[in-house]
Formats: sequence, structure tokens, C-alpha cells
Amino acid sequence: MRIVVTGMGVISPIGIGVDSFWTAAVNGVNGVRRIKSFDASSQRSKIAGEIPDFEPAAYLPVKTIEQTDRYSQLALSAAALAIEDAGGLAAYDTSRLAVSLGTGMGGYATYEASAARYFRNQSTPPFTVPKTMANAASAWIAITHQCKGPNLTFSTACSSAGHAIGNALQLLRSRQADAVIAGGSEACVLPLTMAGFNALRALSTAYEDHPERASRPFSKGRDGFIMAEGAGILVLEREEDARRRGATMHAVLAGYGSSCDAAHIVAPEHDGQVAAMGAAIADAGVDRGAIDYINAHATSTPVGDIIETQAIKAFFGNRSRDIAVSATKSLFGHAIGAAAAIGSIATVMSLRSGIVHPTINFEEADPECDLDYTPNEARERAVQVGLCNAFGFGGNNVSLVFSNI
Amino acid sequence: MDKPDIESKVIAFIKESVHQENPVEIKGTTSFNDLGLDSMDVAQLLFEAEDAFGISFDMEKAADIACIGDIASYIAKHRVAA
Repeated sequence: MRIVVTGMGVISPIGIGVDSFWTAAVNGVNGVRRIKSFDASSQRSKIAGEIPDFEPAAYLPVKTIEQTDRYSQLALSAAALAIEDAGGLAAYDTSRLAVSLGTGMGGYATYEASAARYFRNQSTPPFTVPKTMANAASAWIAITHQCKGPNLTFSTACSSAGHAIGNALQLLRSRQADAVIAGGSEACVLPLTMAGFNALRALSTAYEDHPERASRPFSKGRDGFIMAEGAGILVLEREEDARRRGATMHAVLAGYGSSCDAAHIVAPEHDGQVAAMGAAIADAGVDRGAIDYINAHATSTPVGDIIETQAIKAFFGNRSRDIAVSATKSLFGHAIGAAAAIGSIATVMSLRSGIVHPTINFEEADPECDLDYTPNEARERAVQVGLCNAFGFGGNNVSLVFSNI
Repeated sequence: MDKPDIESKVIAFIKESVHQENPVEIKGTTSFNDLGLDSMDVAQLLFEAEDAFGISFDMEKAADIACIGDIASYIAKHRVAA
């Protein structure tokens, strides 16, 4: 039994819709700029990957917009694009449609605004809880598209969407659902959130005057990640059902592996990453020699990029330099709970197009990062099997294997 | 400000705040039901009205509000004179 991707939708700082996103990715377009959505002048890091041109009204009814946080609006809009790409889900009974989403922070803009009101002794907006709760987006997707099957939300920090997509694979293999809307969404370019990550010293602060150079995974001079917002959604089905209804199949979701470092609450370790990649490849039933592309987690932190490099070298041995690696986060930053979904879409597009998008801002290699990161220019490569990594705070590791149809 | 005056301001506020799929004429006797609002919508509407009219809705007294005229009466009774 093979599980296939039949639809994709993405809302990102470098493009809305898969075509715009992928064209921008291949051209190495930068999406990191000075923050516009709030006054960030008192923040240590004043730059982020914001979506400059998202109009909820283009996708959502007025009442839905009023009752949802931005993170839900991004998810709903990406889902609408993905379902349209899949040709609609009318072939399935509503009880057989599932939703599996990831988010790190949920409706945090609503939380920050309502908390500010509360501590100023002002009244609390009635929609505070329904907008903030982490499962809001998956519930709204179900309401909008009548998905009455399993409805699940995963919150595993930067690996959330990876777990959500892996869970979709399991729902389909076990026949608990016939189609799953899976992915992730995050909209946390916000005052308290930025202050929190700044206080952890996790964000880049050395490129405030040149935000377009700040997100530089694997490069010398990287000093932390760039916060971003976005949403990525896949529609997944069993191949037999997709063929029966004449759906276009973009790629196979072949494997899912997951592990925990069990070491440190934020710092990564490479054994757990090796375990997740190994588990995904074993689950896919492919040989590790078959992997020709890795969509790396690669956040542009001094430590994280080295750990991931070491993990790849430990697992793939002498072959590691033959594998094309690219860092989607170099283009627009780290969309936290949505990152693995957007990375998955980039992986699928590499399989479909035979092009690997570049890791941009690769000016001088860090001597400890010595793999082929597809620096600065896209490259043609007939990718047959790709791996998408996502390694979250809490040592939460996910790898997904995608292969050509 | 007298009640008919407040009522016309409330009607203007409702027209601006409530997105109606199938618009109905809004009068003092128009109920939340007529406007297609469920209990959460009403709670949100009263929350917005607090800022718009400079009042605070007491949860127990506000429970009896069922139509536009009731909102206007409440404001007339509880508004602090400017």
C-alpha cells in the first residue's frame, strides 16, 4: 500500500500558492525583512519572515475571519489551496475525512492581545479561548470542509507539522481515514513571542541592517534563527483511492520516523536525529543509499546546523557528500510549527521538478559544516527519494521520506 | 442623550458590526435571533459595544438583553453622563 500526496497548499513569506512559493525558492528569493506588523523597536531582534500580502478575505467568509486567529486563517487558506489542487474531496464520505495539523504556539496573537487587556484591567474578548486554543485551526478546517473523521493537533515545537504529516500516514495505513488534510501553521511574529525567543538568545541579532543576509544556515557568521510565519498543507490518500478517482499524484509519502533526544530542553543532540532519520528510512523500506536529497531542518543557529551535519554524516557515512542538501529556512526563516510542512512541499517539488532549491546567504562555509548544501544557486538533480528533517525544542525529532510516483 | 437617540446610535453600531448574509431592516424590536446571532456572537457584540459606548455590561443584568431596544435601554440606564 502506498500513501500519496494529491494536493498541496502553502502560504509563505516568499509566495502564496505552490507555484509562487516554488518559483521564489528556486530563484533564491529572500523573505526576511524588518518587522512591520508591530513596533519592534524595543526588541533585540527586529527582523522576521512575515507574509506581506495575505488577504484572509480572498479565502474566508467574514464571520470566519472574525472568529479566528491569524494562525487559523493561514491554515484555512492553505487548506483551501491544497483541496483545490487535489480536485476536491467529494469522492469521500465526510466521516472518512481526517485533519492532522501541527502548531507550536496556536492562536498566540489572540493570547497576547487578551492578556494585555487583562493586565490593564480591561474586559476579556469572548473569543479569547476559541481563537487561542491549539486545535482551533484543525477544528475550523473540519467545519469548513465537513471533515468528520479524526481531528488531531500536534504541538511538538519546530517538528509539529512533521508529526502531523506522519500521523496522517498512519491514519491512512490503518484505514481510519480515506483522505487526510495534514500540515502545519504558525503566526507568532509577535511582541511577547519574539521577546521570549530573544531572551533565550535563539534569534539572530547581527544582521538587523541587512535582514536579507540574516538567515544563513551552515554559513560562517550565522548567529541564530529568524522567526517566520506561514502554513503548509498536504492532502494525502491511499494510492488505490487516488487512482480510482483520477487524482493527480505529486509524490509518495513513503516513511515517517520519530525520536526524542531525552537530553536537553532546547539544545539538540545528534543521536536522536540519527535515530529519526533511520526510523523514517526503515519505515519507507528503502536503503539509505537511495536518499539523494535532504531538506534539512537547518535553522541558522551556531550549534544546530553543526549537530544536523554530524547526524547526516554519522548516518550516511561516505555517501553524505553525494547527497544534495538544502535549507528552506535560508529563504525566509523558521515558521516553527509550519516548517516541516513547508519543507515537505519543497521536497515534493524537488521530486517533481528535478531541481533542488538553493541554501542562500552561503557566503563562507563553516569548517564544521562540510556537506553539499546547494549554495546560492539552484541545481538540477533527478531526485528520486528525498528526506525532510524537523528537529524541535525538547529534542523532538521527525524525519519524513518522500519518493517519486 | 435620550433613548431614541441612543437607539439610533445602537442601530448604526449594529449595522457596522454585524455582517449579515441576508440583511434585515434593523429596528428597536429586532432581536438577536432576527440577526442570526448565536450566544457567542451576542457575547462578542456586547463586548464590542462596551468600547463603543463607554459602558460595562453586568453579566447578570445583561442576560435579559434580547433585542436592540434592550441594548439601548441598558446604555441609557448605565451610561455615565459625559
